[in-house]
Amino acid sequence: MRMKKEQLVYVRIAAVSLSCLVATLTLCNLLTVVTHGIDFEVPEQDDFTWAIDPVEKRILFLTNFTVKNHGVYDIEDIDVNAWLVTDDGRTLLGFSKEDMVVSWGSDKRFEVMIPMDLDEIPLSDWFGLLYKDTAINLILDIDADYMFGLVHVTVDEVLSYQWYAPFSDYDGDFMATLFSIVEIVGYDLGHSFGDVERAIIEQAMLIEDFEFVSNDGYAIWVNTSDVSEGIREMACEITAPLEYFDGELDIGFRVHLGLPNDVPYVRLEEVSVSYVGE
Amino acid sequence: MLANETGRRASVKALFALMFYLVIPVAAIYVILNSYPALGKERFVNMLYWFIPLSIVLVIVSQLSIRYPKGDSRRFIYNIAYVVITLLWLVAFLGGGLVITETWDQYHFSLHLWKYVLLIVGVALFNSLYYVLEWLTYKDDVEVKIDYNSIGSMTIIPLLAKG
Repeated sequence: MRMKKEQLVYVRIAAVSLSCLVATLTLCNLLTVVTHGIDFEVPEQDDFTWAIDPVEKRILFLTNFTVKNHGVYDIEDIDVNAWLVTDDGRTLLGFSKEDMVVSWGSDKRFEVMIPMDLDEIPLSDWFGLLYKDTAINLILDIDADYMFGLVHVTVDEVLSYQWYAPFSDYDGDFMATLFSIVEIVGYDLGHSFGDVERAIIEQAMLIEDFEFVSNDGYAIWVNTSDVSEGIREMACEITAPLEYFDGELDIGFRVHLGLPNDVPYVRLEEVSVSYVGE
Repeated sequence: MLANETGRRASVKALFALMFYLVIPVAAIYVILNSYPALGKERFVNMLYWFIPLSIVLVIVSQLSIRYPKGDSRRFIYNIAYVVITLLWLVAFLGGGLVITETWDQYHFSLHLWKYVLLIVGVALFNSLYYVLEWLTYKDDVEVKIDYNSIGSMTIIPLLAKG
């Protein structure tokens, strides 16, 4: 393939221009990035707050992160995904926000609002939060595009926060039994009960009516019925004052359990989780 | 330094390579390290360790390529070498990978550069295309004359053909 020499000059000009452009981009933009002209400030523990959404009856987990863009291009397509996860890996809540933009030369703060829908969190997770000290992890995943999408920025952080369960110090055996019952209640229908579950049910059959109210507002009521055909009903109400707002969380459940014909049987009859404002 | 075909001691191309691939980056890194003492020096020192030698090779190759007339195979080979070394220089500048991980306080964020590198590879290919076209267009203009008087050393003297 041959070209006229005059035409080749234009190719040369284009090649040199593109080379200069790329070299300038490399020097200016990448050095801007490595000197934190672009930066993501993720929240610290003090940046977390709680609020109540009285209309939707939701508890809101609020935090924020800031994007600093001191570069010369907009940061576009910022997607934020956040999850609250227990230390044993179970996801409590999720949050997603997409297609945000931070213009060049500006800082922008984004609010992260994770709603805790009281009806969506499994009973065992609620109970676990009341009974077991745990670490709650906020998994923060931020994706963004810079330089017209040529550079993709990702932030993957796991922020750990200690959760002190209000009932963790109270009567370990009783609460442990109650928690075990709640856990096996949550099993799938197809789950086959083994010796461990049988032992839990046997222990549950021995629980008597129980009432506890602490000075700081925590309360547990357990009412049990007589055993009929190997099955008894157990109703439990738990009240937990919410530290961050005026109100309390009421968790209640009613379960039938027993060993009819020596076969383990557990059935959740009713469950309710509600926020009560003062 | 050898004079090129135009009689200058240093070609524009070599000066360009010297400025863009050596002087400006080294100056920028020096300014960054002095302006942002919180940044780890190790990464920048590693960058310098690789891309300073590559920059020097780039300057030498660009100067050597200009010694030969357009259409000469040796000029073509030097030009292609220049493009390849430019890509190696870029890899060194990016820290040896397609992802740069930044740490600020205890948090990390990553810059994924594969699209950007793709653009650069595209420009490098375009430059290579130019050098191929230049070689094909001018190669008939170059007359290779074997100096039989010094046949022992097989010196090949390229000359620009008339017209």
